[in-house]
Amino acid sequence: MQQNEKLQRIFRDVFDDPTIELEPTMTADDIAEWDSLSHVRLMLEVSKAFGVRFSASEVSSLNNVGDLQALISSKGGA
Amino acid sequence: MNFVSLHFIAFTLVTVLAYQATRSVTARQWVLLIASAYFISTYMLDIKSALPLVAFLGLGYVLIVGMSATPSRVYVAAAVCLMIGSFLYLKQFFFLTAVGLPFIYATVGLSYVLFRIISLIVDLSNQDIDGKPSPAAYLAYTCGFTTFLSGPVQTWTSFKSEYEKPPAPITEGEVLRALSRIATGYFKLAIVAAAFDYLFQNFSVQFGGSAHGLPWFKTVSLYTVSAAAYTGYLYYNFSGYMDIVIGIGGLLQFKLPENFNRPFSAKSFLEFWQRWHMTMSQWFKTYLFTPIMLTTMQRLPDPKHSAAIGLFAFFITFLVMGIWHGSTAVFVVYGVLMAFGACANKLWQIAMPRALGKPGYKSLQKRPVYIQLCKGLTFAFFTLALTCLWTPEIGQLFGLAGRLGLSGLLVSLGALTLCFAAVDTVLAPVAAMEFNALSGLETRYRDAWTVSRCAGVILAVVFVSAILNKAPEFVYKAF
Repeated sequence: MQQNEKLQRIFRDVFDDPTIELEPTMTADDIAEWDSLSHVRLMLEVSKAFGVRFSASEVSSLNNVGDLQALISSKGGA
Repeated sequence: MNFVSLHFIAFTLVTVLAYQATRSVTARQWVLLIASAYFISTYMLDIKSALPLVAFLGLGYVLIVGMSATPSRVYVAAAVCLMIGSFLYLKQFFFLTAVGLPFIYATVGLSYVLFRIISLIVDLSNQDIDGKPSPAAYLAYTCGFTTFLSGPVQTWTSFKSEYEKPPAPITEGEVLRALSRIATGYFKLAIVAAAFDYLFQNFSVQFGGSAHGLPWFKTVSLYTVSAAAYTGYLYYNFSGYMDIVIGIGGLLQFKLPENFNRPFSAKSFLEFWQRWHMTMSQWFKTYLFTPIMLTTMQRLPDPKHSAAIGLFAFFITFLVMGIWHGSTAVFVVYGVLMAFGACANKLWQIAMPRALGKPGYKSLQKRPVYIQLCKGLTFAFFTLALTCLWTPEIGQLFGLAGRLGLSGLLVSLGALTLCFAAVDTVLAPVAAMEFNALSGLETRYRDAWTVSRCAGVILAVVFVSAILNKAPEFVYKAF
């Protein structure tokens, strides 16, 4: 499964919204349920699915989906 | 050193000229260090009074240098605890007053130095940053004169890129933008904030101290106006200071992060803290809220626990953030109020979609009346909570609360909510219209406009200071 496809599935599961279509520029403002609580859950699900670990700084410093995709790639997430 | 003084203006001018006179990165770094050392020395009584700060900085650096490439969790936890313990001791938190140092010393800037040292320790341990800072870079980061007193709290990565970047000649546009920002800051700090302070002092004196025989309604009215005036004072004083230091950063071509983003346009208490003292909020989010959430959610992965974990993390984070603001018991009350506000806000956000359904809640959130009431309530709650900052003794705070009673506090909360909602409804569109209309003219006559503004602000500052018979102080450096 491609990284983007896998990530999209996680987003749809966490935010309980099957219509989400990921774009690199997408931010928390684009998804109503994306708040600080669901963001941590999202990062834990991503961490589990891609087999990578994120520090608190990394979790807090992401600005958009593109940043998250780049971070997963930089950690060799598969 | 008072920001509204010839001393500070001369200091800034000499620093900027020395900094811009060289194209050597090392020479510029030395200019920053020497200027920072001089700036901090103006807050010290003598060499002895500076020793606790020197020891605090030294301890921080020893702990950072002593870290291995992959330090154990025990080392990181011990290092952070040691820094926090030293901070609490030096700041003489109310439960430590019996064991203080036997001489007077300065604690100004200590809170923000602590933020930076902890972030270095944690980020190094997580390998979020490359390499340990040199002693000079460490001092420039922790004690840079533009950020020493009250932030903004810059991340090491952001600081390093500015600190080490190759110098480029400063352009006329950069100078004008920086001067314009500094003029805005002085206007806010020395005129708007000073006017709010004048109102606050004059109203609060009428119901404080010995004025105990006042009718209840008059006490509540005077308290409400005083509290609102203090909020205006704090905001314009603090954001004005930020404009000044960010502007000075511009003259040094040293980009500093923004710390305010129209906080009173926030539609909730949680959103407010994403707009007010943003770099401090981000720090607490990164180094307290997120670690609590990550650790607890890993242990309790079931999504049904998310809300409870979130409330717990919000409570702890806002409680600590409130207590951090001062060393007396009043700040524990402030922390509890902040934590209550954050948790009540989150509970509302959880309960409303359940009660109205997601579409119903989304529709409610778009209604202008609901939006204005939310903005008003956010302002009102924050304003009442700030009472802790102007009643430094716990007995004084409880005495005031007793005189107002629950009904007085609720009347005050309601009045502030409705007044703010009404004023914002009228002023927000007007402010936006003015801005749109003036922005075209401002672009066309930018140079003349900036110079005129600076001259106007200087005249106004002198005029207002003469009327008020005092130079305004920067209030947040006390926290």
